[in-house]
Amino acid sequence: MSKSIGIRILLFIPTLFVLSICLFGLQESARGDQVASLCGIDGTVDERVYLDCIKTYNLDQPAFYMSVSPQFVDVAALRTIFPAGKKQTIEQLAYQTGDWDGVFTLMELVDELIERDYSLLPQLQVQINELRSKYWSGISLVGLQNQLEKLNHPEVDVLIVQIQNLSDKLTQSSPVFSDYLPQIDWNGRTNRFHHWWSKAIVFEFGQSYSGRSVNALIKGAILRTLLLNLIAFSLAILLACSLAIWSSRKINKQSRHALDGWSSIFLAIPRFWLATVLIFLFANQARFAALGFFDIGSFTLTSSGISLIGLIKVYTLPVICLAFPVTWSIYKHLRDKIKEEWQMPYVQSARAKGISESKIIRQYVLPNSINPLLTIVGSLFSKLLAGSIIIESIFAIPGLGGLVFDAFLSNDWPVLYALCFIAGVMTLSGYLLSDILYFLFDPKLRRGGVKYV
Amino acid sequence: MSKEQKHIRSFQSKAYTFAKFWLKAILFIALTLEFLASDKPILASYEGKLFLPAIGQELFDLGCNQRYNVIRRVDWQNYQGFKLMPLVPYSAQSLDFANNGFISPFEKQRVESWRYRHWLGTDKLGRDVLAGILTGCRISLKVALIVGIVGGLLGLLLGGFAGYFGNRTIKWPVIQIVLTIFLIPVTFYTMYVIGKSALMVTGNFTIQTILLLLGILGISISVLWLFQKKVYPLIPSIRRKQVFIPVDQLFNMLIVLLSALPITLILLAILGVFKSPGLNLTMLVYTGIFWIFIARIVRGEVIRVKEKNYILSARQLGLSHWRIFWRHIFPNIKDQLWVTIAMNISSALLLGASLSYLGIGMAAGEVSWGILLNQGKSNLNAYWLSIFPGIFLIATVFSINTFAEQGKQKT
Repeated sequence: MSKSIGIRILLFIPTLFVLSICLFGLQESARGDQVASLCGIDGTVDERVYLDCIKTYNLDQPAFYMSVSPQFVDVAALRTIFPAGKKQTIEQLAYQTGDWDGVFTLMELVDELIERDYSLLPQLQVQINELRSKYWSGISLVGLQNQLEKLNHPEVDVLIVQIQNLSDKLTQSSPVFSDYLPQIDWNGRTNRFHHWWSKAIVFEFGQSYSGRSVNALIKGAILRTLLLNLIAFSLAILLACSLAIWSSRKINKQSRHALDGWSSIFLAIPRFWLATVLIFLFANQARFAALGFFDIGSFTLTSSGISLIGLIKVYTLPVICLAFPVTWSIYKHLRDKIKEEWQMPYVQSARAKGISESKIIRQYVLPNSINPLLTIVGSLFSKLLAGSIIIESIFAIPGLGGLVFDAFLSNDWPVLYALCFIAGVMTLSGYLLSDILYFLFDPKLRRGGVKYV
Repeated sequence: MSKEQKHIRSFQSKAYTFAKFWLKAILFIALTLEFLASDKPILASYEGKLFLPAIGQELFDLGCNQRYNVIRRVDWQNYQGFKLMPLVPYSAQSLDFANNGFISPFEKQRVESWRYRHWLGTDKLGRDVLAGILTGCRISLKVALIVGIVGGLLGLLLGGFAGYFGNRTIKWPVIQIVLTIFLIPVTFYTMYVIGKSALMVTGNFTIQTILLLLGILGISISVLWLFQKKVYPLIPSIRRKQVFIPVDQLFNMLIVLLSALPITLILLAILGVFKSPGLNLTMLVYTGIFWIFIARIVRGEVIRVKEKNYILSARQLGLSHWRIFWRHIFPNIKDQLWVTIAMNISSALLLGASLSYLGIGMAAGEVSWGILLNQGKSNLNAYWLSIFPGIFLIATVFSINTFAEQGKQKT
């Protein structure tokens, strides 16, 4: 037994690692050049401001523990080149010529040409500005040469001749086969993935694109979601259990079958539709003044304390919407299971002993049929989050679900993937916990007689 | 049959009858959409000849009749000659400027005759809601087909693979495993370099580049196959050192990984990568995740079936794995497979609708039930935008669920 638990714990760690690699990869590809545009991509910002800005999002670091690139690209040098257009130009030149040193020298020379002070020569200044704007927004080698040919001023002649010679040399060179062989750099621990992962593992997620820290955002939202969902889930479980018990014994057959029939219709009703209808009927003072008792929006905790009426007004409708489908799916599971268990011999022998029907249900049948509910508990957190995304965005409750939704719509990736990571960790550890609990409490597994898959 | 069973049967048979009727109706509407809701007439005489303008675009694309090029541009609303308009004389995209701004079904509408009435009202731009609902049927069929075919095939093949071979059937030489592990990064690096070079030097992807990339993938796969089938049999010392590949274990790890996150969250996490995902892409991504849940069921069923005696005797007869799987295992798991696929289709419909209700995963100009409901959210007083598409959605999901339930009882 301890061996199986040990294997499970050992498997937990690589799974978590793979999950975080996947999430990090998704975050990187979703981000694209977004941070660059946050920091001012078009060169209107000062270079120092830009470099500071990419430092806050760790963009000056490599993405992963090692970087693989062809021989003719120096990834580390490429990362800190300032405007994105210039970076693209340099990378493109490197791929075309296969000569990184030459391209880098060319870049330094052109930079020197551009950054000189031409305030006394206004005509040259105009030409240089044109060259700069083209160079910073991506230009080919031939385009660069054409631009340089237009500049014939004694002030810059020496430099231009140098650049012309170099670019002539570059035009003739092209990468050979050995240039494409991978050059593998080991970056050590200064990389974005390590930074993100080592912080995420202690639930520290850095800064969101809106400027606030992700932790503060989550901390402000988590209580509302937990409150809402705990009420809804306990209500759903209570209601489903009592309905299942009630319908299995106490009521007449006709209403039982009506309940079964309606439950399969109710199961098909999506949450969001129910929410719309409920809002239309009960939160709509303009149309139905008598019914429009409830409010939409967040319930803010004021200094005067919590008012019960306010809580009820805001949370009743979302709780109903969250609980509704869960109730019916649990009810259906339980009903089938109770029906099955009721045929078992132990029920008959309990009856023969003279134990009352309600006690048989409570003490014998229910514990045996409630097993499927336990598997839900393992992934409770992520289920809560998934349900909240829709309901909280409809009812404008600023909880975790609303946070996910807003983060998706406003492209605030650190928040979205941080929440994904939290949900993943919670679910994986929930699975681990429920596995261990199964081993501890199920005698069949404890003896090692039956293999649990 | 006891009285109780009779009662259950009666409800179930009623529900089943309804489900059969409803799904047939949806299928019918989805297939004949242009003849039911279109702003062009089904049949019209133009310059002395009869035409089918409702499907004119499709006929023209097929190259049927060059005159349809003219027919497409005729203003059919004000055409005076012979025309037979469809039941709903609007298409989902056609804007009725006289009736824009949420006109209710019971309000007075500014239309020529009852024939042009908006029976289920209009939305903000004056689009007919009934036409939108009917178009939604076709979208739902599309969703069902994507999820059913792609998800079903992937789930059947990969789940069947994991369940059939298990942990202790497939044996590979150690050197083959080493070669595979070595070849995977090499292949991907080569593809990366070629793709990036093509992008950097020419500026865009061409079809030749994509073919080249696929060719590299094919070469590395065939190298592996060649070594496995042709090279190793020649060298006995390699054949002796073989280890089992735990296919089932790997599959289980994939399941754990994919079920770590709720499906809505995975969808959002993946859709974040695309700039403006349409419904098709959303559904493909959905299927790309959801096949694993079909595969899980298939795997369990295959494991249940493969220990049966007839499979053992089939193996004794020396039948190939492929034949055993298709002729002996598949017929015994297919009922369960249909049930699972049906359940997945209904949850895909619900998820697709709820995503487009939230405004995620819809391209401009698409009309589906979720998008109509989304407009209903923005104006709560326009209840017809929430109620009617909602009823269609619920009835469809209910029908599919009933079908699945019926199938479950059969197995």
